[in-house]
Amino acid sequence: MSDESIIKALLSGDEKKIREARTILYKNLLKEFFQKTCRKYSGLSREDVEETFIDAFLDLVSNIQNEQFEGRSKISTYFSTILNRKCSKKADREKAKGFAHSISLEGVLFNMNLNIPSFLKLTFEQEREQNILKALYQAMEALNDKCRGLLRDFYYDKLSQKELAIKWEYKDENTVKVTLNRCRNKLKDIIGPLLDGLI
Amino acid sequence: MDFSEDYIGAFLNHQLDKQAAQEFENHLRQSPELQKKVERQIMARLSVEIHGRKAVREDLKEIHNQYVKGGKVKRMTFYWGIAASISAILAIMAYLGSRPAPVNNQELFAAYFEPIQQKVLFNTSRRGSDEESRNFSEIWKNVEENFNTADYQAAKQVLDSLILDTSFENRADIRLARAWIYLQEKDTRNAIEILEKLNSFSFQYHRNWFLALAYLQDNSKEKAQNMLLKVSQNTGSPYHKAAFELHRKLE
Repeated sequence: MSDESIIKALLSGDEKKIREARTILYKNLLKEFFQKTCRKYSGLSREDVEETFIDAFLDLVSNIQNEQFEGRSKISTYFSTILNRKCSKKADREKAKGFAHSISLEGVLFNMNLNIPSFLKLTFEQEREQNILKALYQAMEALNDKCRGLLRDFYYDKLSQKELAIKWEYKDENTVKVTLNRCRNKLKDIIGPLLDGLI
Repeated sequence: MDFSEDYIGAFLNHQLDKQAAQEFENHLRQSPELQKKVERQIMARLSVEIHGRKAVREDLKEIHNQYVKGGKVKRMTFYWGIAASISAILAIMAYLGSRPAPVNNQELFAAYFEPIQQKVLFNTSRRGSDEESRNFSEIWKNVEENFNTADYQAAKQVLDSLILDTSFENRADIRLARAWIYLQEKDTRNAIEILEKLNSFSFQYHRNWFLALAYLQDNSKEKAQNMLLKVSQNTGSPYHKAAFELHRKLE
């Protein structure tokens, strides 16, 4: 599968195509980079490299889907840059502190490419970052299956409301819109108390 | 002024036009209440993103494990585990004043043998008459697909038929791909037979590296060392560092 067709599939909004493209791309990058990375960053454990590899891959997919990746280089070259940056950071942290966070909230936020004005200053204290992550994850878990699925399909996999109506068997896009609103409000109601005192 | 959740969403998604976005930002700057509303929406989006990432992460781990089980990373993990154990044993033996055990060629092979870079095989120019070239491109595309999905059994069948076809029998890419599969299957003799006869300038780096590994697996230490030395001395080869490292381990 060429770079072009992978990008096209990831942007298609078709869940099956997205999954297929993601799998093929991951396998290819795994073959090309995993062992090399293990050798290059011998100070990191194999599990650390695996975690970082997956993180870098998720950033790559997110950047493609948010159209931050402009296709000026090959996907593999772009991925290798993300991976090396992440591994170096992780290796430095390991050296300095003896531990490393697997995900950085600010990193995830950055990759989501949201329009956040600088005066909002959404920063997270490092000691609390893992607790915030846990709280945010738990909030989604607390939703019912349908709400969780709808929000994930809409925001994470970028399916359109029309596609959601077909997938979740809603009457029309309007019903999807109303349900999405309801689910988002539910999620915000759950998040509020969970994050109290954390940020 | 009250802004709907959808409007806030459109702002966050860069979907407002420049003027509307600027106006919204001005309101936002002055209204702590609106700031809270926006922050809550961002946190909700972050929550979905983190949850989504975790789910995809599980999928990827599954792919990782499948690949690792079916292919080489698992073996490497396994062999690296063995290598670590051997190192520990060697350390104890050294401590006790015993002689260290010899290096195991099979383990070294497993640690260094890796999937051939597909761009090496599948970016080569097509030769021959137009029709022949078209036929080959068609077949070669299938082989590429087989390599993409790590379906080496299927690739092997196509490659074997190509080798028997007089139109393609001398193509170096076919032979290199076939030799790599032989190596992966631990059929070292056949791999060596193909690689020794392979005389292609374009594929020399890959041919030499895989031939060195084939000698290693065949326990032909001297031949392996000679070939590794040749690879390590050629800084243009993508394998020269690995060859240098492996050569030192064999000494």
